[in-house]
Amino acid sequence: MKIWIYLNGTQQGPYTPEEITAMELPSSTPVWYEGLPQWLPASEAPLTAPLFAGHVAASCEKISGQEFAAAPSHAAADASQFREPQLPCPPTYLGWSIFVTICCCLPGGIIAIVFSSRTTSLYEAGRYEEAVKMSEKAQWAIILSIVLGLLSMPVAMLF
Amino acid sequence: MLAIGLSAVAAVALVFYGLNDPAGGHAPRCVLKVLTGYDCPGCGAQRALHAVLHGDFVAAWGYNPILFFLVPLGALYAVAESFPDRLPRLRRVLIRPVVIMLVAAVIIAWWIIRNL
Repeated sequence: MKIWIYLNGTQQGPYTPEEITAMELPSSTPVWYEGLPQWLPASEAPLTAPLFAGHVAASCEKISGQEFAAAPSHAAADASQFREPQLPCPPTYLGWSIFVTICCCLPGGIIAIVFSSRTTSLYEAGRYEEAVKMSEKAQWAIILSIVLGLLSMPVAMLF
Repeated sequence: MLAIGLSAVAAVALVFYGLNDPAGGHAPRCVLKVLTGYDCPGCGAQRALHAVLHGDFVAAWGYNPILFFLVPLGALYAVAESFPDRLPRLRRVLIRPVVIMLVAAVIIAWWIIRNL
């Protein structure tokens, strides 16, 4: 099973569960693997939760009474923080797609709008990597449309 | 990025203000219009921009009414996507696939209607 993690602002992976264990990540690290609808804290994703349950339990036993009192609230804050916003959706560039469409680069503009909407569809389906790629496609469709549009204008003026 | 964008907008505005009649021979033309004879959803944008810059909103509406909705909408998307942290809720609504497909449907519908 391949597992991706989101660490230090970047997406990393894929890793095997063994590698994840060896990395000693915080239990709040967002993880994703095939079949998971969205990114989840490592301690909540079914596949990685056991890896962290053991880890947390082990470390809790070592912590003295005073420190232990503070730990759970911190962990809870981490988890709730990730449950709501998750990873931000990659840009759809729809504003640009509209601009390109109304500025007479029509075929490219429509393609760009389709890519824009696919970006969010994939994101909502939890396929984050594909959403990022689709976002890049939308960006390229827009750049290409603008370049083609600018190149075609002088040609059209000849008629 | 913002500075470049704003100066580009200013430059375009100046050029279009100066063009006496974008419908004449001096302004860029749409290839699709030349080749097929059909108006695309954005046709009339140059004349409309020219009219707006000269304060004639009625004429601009006549050239292409959908611009009055699409331009602010496009700007809204650009702002929401440039500052995702400041406007998370607005962005989440705007980028929903249903909303995006609705925008596409309106543009395509307008394209068909204006050529009937």
